[in-house]
Amino acid sequence: MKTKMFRHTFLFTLMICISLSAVTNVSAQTPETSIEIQALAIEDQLRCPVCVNEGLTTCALALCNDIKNSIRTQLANGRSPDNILLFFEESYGTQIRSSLAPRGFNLWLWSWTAGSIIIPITAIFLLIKRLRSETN
Amino acid sequence: MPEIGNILGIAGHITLGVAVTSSVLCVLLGISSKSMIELAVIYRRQQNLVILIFISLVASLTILAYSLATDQFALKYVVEHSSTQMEIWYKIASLYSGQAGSLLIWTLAISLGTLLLSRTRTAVFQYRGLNAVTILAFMILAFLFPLTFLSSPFELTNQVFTEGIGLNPLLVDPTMLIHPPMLLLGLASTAIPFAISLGIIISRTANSEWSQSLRRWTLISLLLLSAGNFLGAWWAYTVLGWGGYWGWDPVENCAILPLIPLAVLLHSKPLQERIGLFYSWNLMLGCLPFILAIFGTFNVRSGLITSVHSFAESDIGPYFLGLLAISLLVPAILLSLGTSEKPVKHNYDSVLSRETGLIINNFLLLSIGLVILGGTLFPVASELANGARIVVGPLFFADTVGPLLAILLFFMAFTAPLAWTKTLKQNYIAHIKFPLSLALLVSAFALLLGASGLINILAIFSSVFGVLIHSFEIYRAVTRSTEIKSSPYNRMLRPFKQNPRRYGGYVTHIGLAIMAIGIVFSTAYESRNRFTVEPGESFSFENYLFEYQGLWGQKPEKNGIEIEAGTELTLIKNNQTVNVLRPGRRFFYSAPNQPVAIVDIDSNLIRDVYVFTQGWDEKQVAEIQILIKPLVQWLWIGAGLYIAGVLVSLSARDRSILRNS
Repeated sequence: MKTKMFRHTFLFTLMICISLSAVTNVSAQTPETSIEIQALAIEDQLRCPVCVNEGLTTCALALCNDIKNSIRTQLANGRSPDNILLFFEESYGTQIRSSLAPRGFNLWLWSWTAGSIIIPITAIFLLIKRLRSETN
Repeated sequence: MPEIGNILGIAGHITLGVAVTSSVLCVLLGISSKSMIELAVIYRRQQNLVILIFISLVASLTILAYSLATDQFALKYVVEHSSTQMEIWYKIASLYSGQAGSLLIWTLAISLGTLLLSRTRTAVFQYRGLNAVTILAFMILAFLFPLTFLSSPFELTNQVFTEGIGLNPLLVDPTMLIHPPMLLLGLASTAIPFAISLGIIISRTANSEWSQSLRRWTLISLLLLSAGNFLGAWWAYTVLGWGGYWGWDPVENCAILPLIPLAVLLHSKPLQERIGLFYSWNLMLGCLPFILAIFGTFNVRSGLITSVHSFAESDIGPYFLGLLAISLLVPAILLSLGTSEKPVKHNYDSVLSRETGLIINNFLLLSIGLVILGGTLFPVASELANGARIVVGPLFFADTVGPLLAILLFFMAFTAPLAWTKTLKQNYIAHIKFPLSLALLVSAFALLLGASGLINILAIFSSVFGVLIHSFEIYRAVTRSTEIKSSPYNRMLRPFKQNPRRYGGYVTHIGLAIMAIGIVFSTAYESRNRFTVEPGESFSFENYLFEYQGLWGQKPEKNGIEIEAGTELTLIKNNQTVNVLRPGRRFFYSAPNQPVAIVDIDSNLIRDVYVFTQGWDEKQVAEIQILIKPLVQWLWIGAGLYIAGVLVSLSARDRSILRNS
């Protein structure tokens, strides 16, 4: 019975490993230096400055197409991705960034998030402590 | 035609009127009853009224469906959401594409739940049932009020129309025939756990019989809401053309928020049954999914948020804000005034027990829910405080919810082999050592192959360990039953028949872990590129060669589509044609400047080649975006297993009920 279990587990693990190797094989061949790939990575970190909840990558507005072209031009001119992101932040404000920097009013959300994690964790410890002391 | 439309409009108003009257009577009967003898008589009357409410609402929906199917443009709703060009299926889909129609389905779904609840286990459930049915009738009334006075689907037009605007272009997709109704049913079904819990809170006479009903309805809501969300993810992936399946859009968040208290309740109730923990908390958890569903409804209909899912701003927003406040405050205040809970001694023997695992997992789920709620409310809060809306995008949720989910998966896996009360260390180690070693091996293998990121690795490890440990537990249960002489098929099913609650849950956990593997790989290890190509030109990406053959186009002449056009690409690997892909764009008469993407995907278990066309010029030079997304199919397979697990769990009968009866 145990041999059967080992055989099945081995087959499952082998399947995962084969899938992993196939997947990573695909990733390993990514041309990291390609301007297009870098441009797409920058686009992912930016939002359409006009629409609400629309990423730059998917937005089809002329303004967004101009930004996309500008990213490629700046990359071709040798500017670093960080500099390009900073350039757009200075031009359109922090709202263009997809990420939420932990500063200004955003700190309220980050504090809420920290509280949402810290309070339940504290509650777990206090509850377990109380239960143990009750049992003892 | 307008005469028939007018008659249908009046008939619709009458059916809604009957539903309103029946609901009022049902509520009045419920609150007027005093003695237990009276209760039994009144309950029978309430049951009849519930049938009448249901029939009148079915009639309302049938009238609206018929009006849409036969193009009765005398009704404003038909003009705004349907058109003569649409196929019958999409005309029926217009039922829920508008605010009034979706509210009608909500109300009908609550009345169906009320009907089922009032008919099941009446003998044991009567006293609680009466309270719950009265509360549900009140809720039906609360939904009928805006349907009758604020946003009626049977409102007549002032002028004669011969054509309608048609369906929102994004909704012209077969997935839309099932995703929205499933989600609406899921959201509406949360009213039943709410009513049962509030019934217990009000009556202060909780016996164990409410347990079975609450658990069953919690599972039904979980099933419908999960299925609705999975279908939504599938729709986003195959229709929206951005290569993702979850955008952390505020409305998407509102659709998953009720799932969290449902999941917590399912894992928290055993703690109440075993060691007497969380009695009041569980009652509040029973109420929370509906409160969050109302919160989502308010969000979608108030104009507070902008999303592909939201309805236009309407007068209904403030009404739902009021309903939200009542739904939240009533159970909270009543609970704070006290419950029927008797002081119990908690039998918590050891930290190394299933109780500890469930406590940790429940609080982690709570953390995730609070973070999502914060991120969803923050844009509104920032606008109220600063006058400027700060949008919370997917990166925030990926950075915060992602790690919490990885940790949750980790604890979920480690909880499975834990026994109730106390687990012997050596037993536990014997249970976990083999799957743990294999999971570590797979994670190391992934690292060696170039997988990166601590959270990604933790998620991979936890998911693989989760799949293995739960599979082992099922395997053990199956092999344990080999002594009994029966067919292999029966032996395999035996644990699921004997303890569907546990093993159904394990299948759901395996589904979740497989989904997590799919999510981690398809997001963290996807590769993407954009190409500008001329007809006849080819380009290579990863191990594939793409040959651009040229443009294609067609005029479907249905569903308001003016033209469908796109590029034809031959996908080649190792000099062999793998597939011919035809991504493009769909242009609608109603919104010619807002074409909808036509995505084409070549799928297998290892990866998806996801292609969409950004655009093209008059020389047919096209801009094509290619995404290679690893293991996406695992997400859908995991979702299927998750649903199968919930279905198995639904077949369980509560032991406490059986003991009592």
